[in-house]
Amino acid sequence: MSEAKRKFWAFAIVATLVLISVATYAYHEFYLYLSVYLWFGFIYGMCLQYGRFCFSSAFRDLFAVGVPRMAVGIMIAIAFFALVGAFVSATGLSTFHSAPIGLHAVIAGFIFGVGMCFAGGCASGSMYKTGEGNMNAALVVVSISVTQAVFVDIGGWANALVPASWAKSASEKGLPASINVADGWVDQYLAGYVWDQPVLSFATMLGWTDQSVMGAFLGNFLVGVALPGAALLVVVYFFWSRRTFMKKRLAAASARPRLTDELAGYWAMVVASKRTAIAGLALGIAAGLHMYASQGLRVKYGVRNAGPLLERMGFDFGLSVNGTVFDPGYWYVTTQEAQWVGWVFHKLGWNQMDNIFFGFNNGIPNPLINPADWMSIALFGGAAVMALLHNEFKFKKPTLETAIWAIIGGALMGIGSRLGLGCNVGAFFVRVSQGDPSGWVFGIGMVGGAYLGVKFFNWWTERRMARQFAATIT
Amino acid sequence: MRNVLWTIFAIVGGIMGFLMGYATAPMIESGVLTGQGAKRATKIEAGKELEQFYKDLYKER
Amino acid sequence: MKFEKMSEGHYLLDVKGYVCPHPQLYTKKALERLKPGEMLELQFDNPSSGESIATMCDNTGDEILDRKQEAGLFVWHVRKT
Repeated sequence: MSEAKRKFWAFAIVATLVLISVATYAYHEFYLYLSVYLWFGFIYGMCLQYGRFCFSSAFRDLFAVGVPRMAVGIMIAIAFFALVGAFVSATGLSTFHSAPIGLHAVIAGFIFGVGMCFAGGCASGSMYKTGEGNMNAALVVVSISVTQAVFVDIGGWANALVPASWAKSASEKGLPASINVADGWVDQYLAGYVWDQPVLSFATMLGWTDQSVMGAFLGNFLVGVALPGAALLVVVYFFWSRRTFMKKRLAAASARPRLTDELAGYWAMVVASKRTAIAGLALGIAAGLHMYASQGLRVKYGVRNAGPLLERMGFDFGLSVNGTVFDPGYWYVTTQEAQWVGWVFHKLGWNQMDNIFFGFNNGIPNPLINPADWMSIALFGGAAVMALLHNEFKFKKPTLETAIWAIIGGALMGIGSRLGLGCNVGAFFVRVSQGDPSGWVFGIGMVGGAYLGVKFFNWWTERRMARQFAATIT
Repeated sequence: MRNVLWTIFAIVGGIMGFLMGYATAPMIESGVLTGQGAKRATKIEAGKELEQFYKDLYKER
Repeated sequence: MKFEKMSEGHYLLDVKGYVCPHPQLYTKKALERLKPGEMLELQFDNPSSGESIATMCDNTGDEILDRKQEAGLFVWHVRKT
């Protein structure tokens, strides 16, 4: 593509999004609520592409090729999101709610971790890579979406796999009859198990509230994010970054590194990839402002969820029995992907409103007016604009081999994200940043899964390489 | 290419500014940001003359 | 994936079409097999792999001689040390 052409397409994408925002706002004020999602999605997409932000590589590249770049970048993003988030929640404006914590988060993280290794990118990574023109990543996105919509509505034979205690507990929750909680594995998992798990935050564990200054800054930010994050980076530094740095810094092999050398090495690791660090910083700040902006519009319109807004605008299809739709008020990836497919399935005659995920919580509004979908669509756009302007846009067709990895990986991520109530963004990045210990628990599982995935690919690539090498040499 | 990038940053920045302002105004108005909570200054001070005026309304001439 | 000997001490690794983690894994495996001083021409089109490969070479001491980028295709020359 010529430079002029790339410029044209970049502007065309931005202009289209501006036009959507302006036209819908002119039609009805409430559409501004969707535009908030749209523009933050666009910024997330730009940041992700610029920083080559890939959560899966954070752990995978450590194990596979010993590169700590992304692990550092993510900790930077988490730290800044946590700092902005602490301001937002200390003023009582946070849209965040902790998730139930338990063993399920480790298992979910593990499945997700294996999946993202196979797919070659996490849920959000696959989205920005789709924006780069990578059709393999698009296949991952499709696979995640379809798997989720199928998985949350599996009943019938799967009901036999539900432990009796879950079924009993779920039936006692008093859910509306339309949900039909006795049918559906995920329904009984959610209502009978997950909902019974404790909901914690570092602030409440230390005896403060999330809305207090002490709780937000000391509890959730310092104890929940800054200290464990810094400690994690120390581990990463000693295992993966220290040796090379010291080899360069201490020319004489006999010299012993002093504390100042160690600190310099630590800092050098943090700023090693400028791109990643800058993107992490911008992502963190944007994610915090997103919560602020969403909350402001909720105050303005007098709602707590976009459901009533959609209803007032005349869209009453696809709202959950509570009248709500999926509307986190912050960065989220997987649920809206499931909603696209859930909506299509429902229109094709497969009742998707009789499960908790869609029917009770998130609804399946028309994708065209689904707030979180506006974020995802714009995320593709933001990534595409950045890729076009840096001449990295290339239309890539999948091969059979990569397509198989993409579908398997996407399916595993879909299942993992439904079990863990979110993906690497919703269940890990956002929760860790907001002082929810269940985010770290999901992260532990994710690291374990990534380790296993890397082991597999190490074996696979080694085998293929050995064969090619033998053929080359003879 | 750099100019294009900065132009796009400017457009996005402008939209962001609008959105943040739009979100901040209701929060100030409702007292969420100023920390006043529900204590909105709606009470109108009734001066002495005004009280006298209302009393006088009932007086028969 | 294509790994070929182009001439004496000069190898080609073509991992176009692959996404993470394949390009960096294949690069690592290829470099492990080369003898010091030999050169690897690396072709990939997954931008995020570039960052990882660059850091990896920095860690192992292998030298990246040049990086060309044209319309989403990256061609790098790496000399094993």
